[in-house]
Amino acid sequence: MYEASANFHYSFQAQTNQVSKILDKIKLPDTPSVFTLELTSACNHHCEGCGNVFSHDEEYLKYDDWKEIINKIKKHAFSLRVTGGECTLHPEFDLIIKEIEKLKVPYVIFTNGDWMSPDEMLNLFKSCQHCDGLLISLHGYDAESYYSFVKTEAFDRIVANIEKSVKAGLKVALNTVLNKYNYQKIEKIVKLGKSLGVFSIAFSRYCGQNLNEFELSKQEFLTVFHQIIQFNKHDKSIVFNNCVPACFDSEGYPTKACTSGIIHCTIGPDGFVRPCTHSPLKLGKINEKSIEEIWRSDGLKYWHSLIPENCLNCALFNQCRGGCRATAYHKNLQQDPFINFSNIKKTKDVETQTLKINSNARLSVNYRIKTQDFGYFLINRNRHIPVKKEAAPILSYLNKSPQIKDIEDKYGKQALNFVGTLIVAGLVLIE
Amino acid sequence: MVQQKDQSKIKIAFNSGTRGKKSTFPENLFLDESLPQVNVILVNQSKKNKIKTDPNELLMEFHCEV
Repeated sequence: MYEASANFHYSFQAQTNQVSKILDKIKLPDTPSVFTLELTSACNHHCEGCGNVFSHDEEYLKYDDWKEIINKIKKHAFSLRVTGGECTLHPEFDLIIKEIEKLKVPYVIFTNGDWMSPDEMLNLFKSCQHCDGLLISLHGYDAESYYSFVKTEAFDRIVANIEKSVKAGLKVALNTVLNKYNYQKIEKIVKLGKSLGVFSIAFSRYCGQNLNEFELSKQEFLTVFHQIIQFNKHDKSIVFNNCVPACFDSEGYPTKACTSGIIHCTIGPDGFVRPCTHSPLKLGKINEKSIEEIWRSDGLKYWHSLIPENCLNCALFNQCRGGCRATAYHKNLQQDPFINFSNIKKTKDVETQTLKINSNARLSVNYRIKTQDFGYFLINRNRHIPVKKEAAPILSYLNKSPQIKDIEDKYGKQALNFVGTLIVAGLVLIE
Repeated sequence: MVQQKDQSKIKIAFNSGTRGKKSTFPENLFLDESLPQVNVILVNQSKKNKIKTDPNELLMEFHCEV
C-alpha cells in the first residue's frame, strides 16, 4: 500500500484553487460518518478480480486494537460496514461484532458466505440488534461461472448459506462483480436471488488493475449496464452497486455519487485510514492521529484533487462526483476510463414533483443530525443531505412530530416544500 | 435485527421569536442542488396518504460499497 506523504508526488499550490472549488461543491464534513472496517486481510477465496488493495497474508489487528478503534470512532460513526478480506475469519470476530453493537448505529456485514460453522455464524448474526443485514458476494449463476471468478469450489455451500440466512430472518443482499463469465446471464443471477428470497441483488463494476481475461470492454459494460437499469425500472431491488460516471453514455444515467473521502473512510487491517476500500492511499494511522486531523490531511486534499476539473462544470456533479478515482489509480490513468467529457451535461433537467398529502398527516424524523460550520447534515445510513443553518427552526419543530399543516402554518410554503423533499428522500416519514 | 428508524437525539438551539406568525425562509434550504424539487399540496381527505417511503431503499443503498 502507499502512503500519501511518501509515494505520491503532488503540488498542492497548483491545485489549491481546484480543491477549494471541489470542497465548496461537495460540502466536506469535518469528519467522516460512514466507516468501513476491514477486520482482517485473510480470505478463504481467491477471486481473480479481488477488490482488496492488500494481499491475503492474514495481517490483522487483534480484538483489543479494534476495540480501541471502535471507541475512537464512536462519536463520529453514524453507520458502519464490516468487511475484510473475509471478516468472519478474524479469530475474534464475535467479540469485535459485540463491540460494534455497543455503538448502537446501523451496520452491514460484507461476507463471501463461506463460513466454517454456518449455524454458529447465523446465531451470532441473529443476536445482533443493529445489523441491517448481510451483503454476500455471489459472482456467478452456477458452479462453473462462480468458479471462473472466485477460483474456489464453493458455489453450492454459498447458495445453501444464503438460503439458511434468509430462512433465519436475516436481510441478505447479493453482490455480483460483472465479468466476462457472467455479464450475459445476469437474468440467471436475478432469478437465483429471487428464488433464494434475498431482498436486494446488486451488480458492481470491477475496480482494479487491467485483467483482460475477464474484464468487460466499455461496450460490453454499457450493454449490461443498460440491462440493469431496465431491471431496476421494474424492480427497485435490482441495483447497481458502485459508481459509474454520469457522462459514461449520452443518456446520462448517474449511478451512485462516490462518497469516498467525503462522508466515507475505510480503516484497513493494518489500522491505516484510507478514503476508499479500493484505494491504497493511506491518510494516516488511526491510533496516531485524530479523525479530524486525518480529514484535514494533505493526503485527503490530494484525493479530492483527483476529481477531474472538467467535472466541476457538469450539472450532474453531485450525483456522480467525477467517477471512480480508485479505478483510475489501478489503471494508471488520470481519470476514470468511463468518463466521456463529450457527454457532460451543462444544464440539468429540473422536474418538479408534486406531492399531495393529507393536511393532518403526522410527521416523524428518520435522520440524525450532524452539525457543521455551514449548516447541518441530515443523515440516515448513506444518505447525507446538507442543509443551511436557516433550516434549524424547522428541524427543531420536526422533532415534535407535528402534523404537516402545522409546518405550513408556522413556517410557510418554502418550509413545506423543504419537508416534502425530505419525505421523498425517506428522511421524514409520514403516517 | 433491522433498525429502520433513527430518531434525532441532537437538539438544535435556536431563538424562536416567531411564535404565532409565519417565518420566512430563503428559496432553497438545501446545500445540494442535485436534490429533486418538490411541491407539496395539502389536501383534506379521509383517505390514507399514498406516499410511502420504502424503508428498504435506504437499506439497499447501504448494502452497497460506495
